[in-house]
Amino acid sequence: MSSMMTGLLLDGLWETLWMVGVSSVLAAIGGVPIGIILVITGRGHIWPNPAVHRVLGAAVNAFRSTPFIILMIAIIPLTRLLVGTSIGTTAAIVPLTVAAVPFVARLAESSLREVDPGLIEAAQAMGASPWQIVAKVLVPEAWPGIVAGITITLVNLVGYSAMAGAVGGGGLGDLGIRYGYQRFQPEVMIAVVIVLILMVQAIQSAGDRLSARLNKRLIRMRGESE
Amino acid sequence: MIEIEGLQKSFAREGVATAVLQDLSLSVKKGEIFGIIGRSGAGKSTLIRCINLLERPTAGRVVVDGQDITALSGAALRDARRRIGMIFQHFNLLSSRTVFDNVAFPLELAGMSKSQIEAEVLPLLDLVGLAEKRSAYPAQLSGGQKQRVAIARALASKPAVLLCDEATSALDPETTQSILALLKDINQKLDLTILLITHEMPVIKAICDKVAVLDKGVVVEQGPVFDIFTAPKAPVTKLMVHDLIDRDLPDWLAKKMAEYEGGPGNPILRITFSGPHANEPVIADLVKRFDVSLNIFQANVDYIKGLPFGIIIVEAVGRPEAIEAAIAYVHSQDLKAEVLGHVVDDDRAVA
Repeated sequence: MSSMMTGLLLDGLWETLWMVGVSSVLAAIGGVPIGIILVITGRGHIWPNPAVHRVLGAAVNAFRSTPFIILMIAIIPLTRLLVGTSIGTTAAIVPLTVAAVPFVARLAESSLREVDPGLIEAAQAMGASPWQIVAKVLVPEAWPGIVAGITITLVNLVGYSAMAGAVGGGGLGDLGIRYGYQRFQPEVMIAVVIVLILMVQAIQSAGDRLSARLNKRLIRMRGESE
Repeated sequence: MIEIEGLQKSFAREGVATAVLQDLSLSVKKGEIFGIIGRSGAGKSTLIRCINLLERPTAGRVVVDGQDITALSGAALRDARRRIGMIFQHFNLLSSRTVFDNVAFPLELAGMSKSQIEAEVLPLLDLVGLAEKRSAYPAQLSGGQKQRVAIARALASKPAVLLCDEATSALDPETTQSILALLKDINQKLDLTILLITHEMPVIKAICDKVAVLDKGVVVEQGPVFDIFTAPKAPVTKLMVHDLIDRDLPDWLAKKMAEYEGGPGNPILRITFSGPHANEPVIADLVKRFDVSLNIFQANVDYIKGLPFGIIIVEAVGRPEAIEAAIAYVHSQDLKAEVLGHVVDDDRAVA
């Protein structure tokens, strides 16, 4: 492979990392609180509020059921408003984030819901406020699961970012389509796919390892943790 | 210390209100260990949760340490809850926190500084015997150790009362004994009032001063443990103390008694020992004084809060007048002798 090709690959890799990295951070910042609100507004939880619960749940479902390619086009006005353009790597961050927020929210919700109700009850018995329960019980206890959820989101975003590439977002997907498909250079396509595979592997195993290390329930009886 | 007056709790299930607790009143004195025993579904869990308002009663009042808890809500209720410690059947420790940080948790909630917390937590870990486990996570502890951490955590905010929700039900008998010993110890050291609920008789027998028997949301009887268990009145209590005071007779003996039809026979006596005379050699006295020989079929002596309580089932062999005099003697010693039935004289050898 020529040095020009290598340069293109590196550029594409960097663009993909940029899109995926920024949008996943934004998605976590937006999605985790939505997940928390979905859980605590549920029936019998610490801040039951059927109206909020239902409206938020419906909104999350609406965004999750819209195919990414349609979502991307549908929110072009929003993208223009925020970034100034709807074309390019940075512009692609907007639809990627919008697509990932509800995804993170649902994954965070399911981790938070698995927190033993006994722990919430114990915290209430100790005089914890709803906010303290969220910050000191729910989130820390669900954190390993939330990290695992963010890992899944990252992997999904790598896939979505290739689609964003197809409409001028840049990145590895864009490179693969333009050179590999449109210019009949299958070796570029193969190189792109291999880089993507390696990237997803790296993200998944790093995420798994981090989540396992955070999960103190997995600490063995003998493994003293000084 | 804890006054419960006219407590009622009902849950709406599919629009129909089901009463779980019905007009329940209890009074727990300072420094007392008060046990509430009942079968599952009797309403024990709901009752103990009504004391710190994890469940809000439908009606009635709960007064803890002079404060009407049922009148509180919001921040005032949270403050009041800090004065009521609670431990649970499944410990409910935070898995993401070390032993130290679990015990520190209620102090953190109260907004204490790091150095204050350290000063409070370390003595508590010593008290429950887990000082060397301070950096361990709950997953690294045994059930008994987890409950010790939970006890230390419950004591951290210096509560006036400790609520124990089936605190030993998930533990094996040996660990149960050590946790009960710890509860007894802190009860005495700290003059801490303890209210516990359990379905296990041995727990009540081991540490409680008073007991209330809960059945279908109603307290069917309450009083000092010794009195309730040695002279139960309610059918549900009788069933509970069955093993203690009313064991089934051996099958063959019951059969023989049933077969008896007024012929000459020897009475089967149940002699119940309790109180100050329980330690005296009454059986030996009977044999010596009244020329009655006693054939022991069953004997059981138990200790409730250190007081002996025993039951012996015997066949009395001798002249009818001698046996009658012997029974009168037993009664004169403040013990109890009941004639359960008779068996035909020479049948025993065959059985």
